[in-house]
Amino acid sequence: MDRQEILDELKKVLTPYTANKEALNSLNEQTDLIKDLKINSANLVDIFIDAEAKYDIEIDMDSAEKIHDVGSCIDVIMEKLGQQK
Amino acid sequence: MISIGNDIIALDLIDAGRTIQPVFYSRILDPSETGFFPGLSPLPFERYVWLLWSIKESVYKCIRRVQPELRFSPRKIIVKQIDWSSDTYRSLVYINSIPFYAQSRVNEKFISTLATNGTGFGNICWDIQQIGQTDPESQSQQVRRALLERLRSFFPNDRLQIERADAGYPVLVKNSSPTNLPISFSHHHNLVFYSFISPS
Repeated sequence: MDRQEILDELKKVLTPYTANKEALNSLNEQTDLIKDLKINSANLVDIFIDAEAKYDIEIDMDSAEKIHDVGSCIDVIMEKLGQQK
Repeated sequence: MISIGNDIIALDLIDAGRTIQPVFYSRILDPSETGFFPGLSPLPFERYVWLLWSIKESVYKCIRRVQPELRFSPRKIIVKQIDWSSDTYRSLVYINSIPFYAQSRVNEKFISTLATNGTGFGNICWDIQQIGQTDPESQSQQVRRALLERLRSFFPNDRLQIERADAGYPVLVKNSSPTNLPISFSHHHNLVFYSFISPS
């Protein structure tokens, strides 16, 4: 899976929790989850769990801490997928 | 430097079924914190989980003003003690040996928490209001409007506005100059919550 493929799938994970639907249309690696998508911080745990299920990975506490925008989210997913090989 | 932070959770929006799953709550609670739960009965477990989330988020907002580089990681903010009476929960949290105090309310509509590194809550002004529109822009505008309205009673002759510091915390700007007055606000669904340390 390349970064664009992960981004496309990640968009589906983020959609139910995104208050700013317009920002989803221009989603890119710099899109901030809270500032741009207006995701409530209370939904971040939901997003991590949904992403874990989608990619069959485990996002540990230290990795979750690094996630603030779409790019950092893709970084963590790629890292975890890489560890499975 | 005295700081404050607050948080509000609209209980209409929580997914109780998901919250009580270990895969969910283990991302919020440290194993040591599950030990407080039996003593806080009759609070349902899903509300207990969100109570602790609310405490941790409030404490994080409080410390971010002092340590802007810190990232929010609920499992790294550990509640050491909780006491309760009626609908009020008082908790003690330590981060790097620094104590923070939180005061939370739990009712049928929401869980709210106010946190400070100061010695008490008596000098903190706050209010929770229900709003009509729940889109992010309305939430943001309404909470700022309510906060500024209250602050104008302390600064009737000044031009007030709220800006965000680079680290993300809100700053009260008075007559174009940033102030050190600690302010905090939060919103969730149709609820907005503001707080600030009384300037008088």
